[in-house]
Amino acid sequence: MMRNRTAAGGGTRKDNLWAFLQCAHSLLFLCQDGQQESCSAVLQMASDLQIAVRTVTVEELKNELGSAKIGTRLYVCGDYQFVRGLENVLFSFGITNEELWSDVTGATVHPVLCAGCYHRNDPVAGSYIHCEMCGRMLEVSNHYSKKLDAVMGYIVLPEQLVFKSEEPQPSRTTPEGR
Amino acid sequence: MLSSRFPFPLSADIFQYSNNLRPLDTNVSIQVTHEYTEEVGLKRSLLKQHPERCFREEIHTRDAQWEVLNYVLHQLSQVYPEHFRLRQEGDNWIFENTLLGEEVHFRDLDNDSLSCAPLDFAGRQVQEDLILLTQYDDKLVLEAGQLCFPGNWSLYFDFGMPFMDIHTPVPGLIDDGLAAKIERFLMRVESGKPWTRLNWSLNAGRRLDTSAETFDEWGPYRYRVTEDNVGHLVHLRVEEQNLMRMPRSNSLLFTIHTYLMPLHEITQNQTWTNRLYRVLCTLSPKLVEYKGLSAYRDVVVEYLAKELRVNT
Ligand code: HEM
Ligand SMILES: [Zn+2]
Repeated sequence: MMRNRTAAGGGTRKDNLWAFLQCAHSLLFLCQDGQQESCSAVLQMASDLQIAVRTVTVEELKNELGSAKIGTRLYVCGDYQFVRGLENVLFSFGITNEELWSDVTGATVHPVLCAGCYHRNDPVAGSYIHCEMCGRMLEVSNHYSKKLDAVMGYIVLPEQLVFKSEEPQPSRTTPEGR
Repeated sequence: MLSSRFPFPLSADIFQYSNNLRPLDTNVSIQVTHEYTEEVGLKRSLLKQHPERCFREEIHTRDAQWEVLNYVLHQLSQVYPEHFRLRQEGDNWIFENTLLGEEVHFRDLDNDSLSCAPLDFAGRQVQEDLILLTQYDDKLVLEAGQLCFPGNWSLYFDFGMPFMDIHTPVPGLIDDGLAAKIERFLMRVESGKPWTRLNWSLNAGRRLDTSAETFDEWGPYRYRVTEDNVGHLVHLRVEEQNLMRMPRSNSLLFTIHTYLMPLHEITQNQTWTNRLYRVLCTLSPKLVEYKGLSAYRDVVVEYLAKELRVNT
């Protein structure tokens, strides 16, 4: 699944979020309690684009899904467990990656070990990073090693992003899993 | 003559995770097959090129490693006396590997008498990957291992981890309470009563060393599976895993022997084809994704369906 468009597009993160919002007529906005500061940029952008934003709770969001109009986009933001859990629910409702933007905040408190070159990358927010050492794209997991004090960064193939965006599946990285 | 062997892993038309350990009645925990020379050669070259990836040890496990080495060499010489011989001359042990034309002299528990760590040495004589877990009061911890043919995981990363943490990536295994049950079970495994289980997946490509480290080398083949090449490109990958208690150190030895069979060979067997077809049709989305099948499961299912139609 493609959460962080930076990963797929190669453009800057802002450009991609901009592109995502541009296709929206309205935006359902869901932010985990206490994390609001982190998504002020999204709200600002939506307001610049004159997109109607509705803030919803998890329950409201689930109820909305049946009746959501074409052109409605979803934005969710929260810590790792929250976002991954919600994504699973959303995908099971048939929401596609085109319709969803999610940001993981404050989740990556741990460094990320690059599976390809063993470099320990500094902690960053987000589900995908590029290894500082070898440049490989990595999926940040919650598979944690105490010994290395790092989570595993699994190598991501360009093919995976294309494939996953066409046919979203619960990722390897589910709350139940990693 | 060395045998061919392929343990077919599916025993029902629906697959779910379970504690599928069975007693290893034969007590044969090391399998030497006709791929021996090729696979042991591959292991040794991987160990040479990627020592950090393929071998890890806590130095305090050395005594337990010696126990494993003794166990493995005795297995080889007892089960395959025509290929391996072990004898004692005074303080010296002499191990003869006639398949590779090697003879090694060493002294028990004398680290300087071997060219590498004992577990590493044992692993260089067998096709199996060897993982050693130390048993603590409340958990099993991976404290040494030689791993050349991982199914998309990393020994470098998992080294030092408790059993539970090792399994976090597996969907459902922790949350369902299954992993905790399995660990409790393993902690009670008795010496002389080994256990065995099979684990399976599909591989796009004929490659044993599918490490997480090299995913960008072997992963792309998942996206190159077509109707035309599926029978030869896609392999059923089976890991035969054995578990046994090392009585002196009270550690657990976990062996993994990996087998690959291309689908066009699987389809020579109607029962297997049918089983695999049904399991793939009903496999839960989470397992499809975890086993890395999302990109090509449909092509495989189509292929198996066609083979079944042709043969009925
Ligand atoms: C005690 C030694 C064992 C070790 C060191 C071990 C290690 C592992 C590792 C490294 C993985 C891959 C996880 C990943 O994706 O990173 C795995 C997967 C798994 N393990 Fe274990 N394991 C052990 C024993 C067992 C036992 C006894 C069982 C069940 C009775 C079991 C059940 C599983 C299952 C179901 C998977 C998922 C496999 C798949 O669907 O491909 N493990 N194990
Ligand atoms: Zn790297």
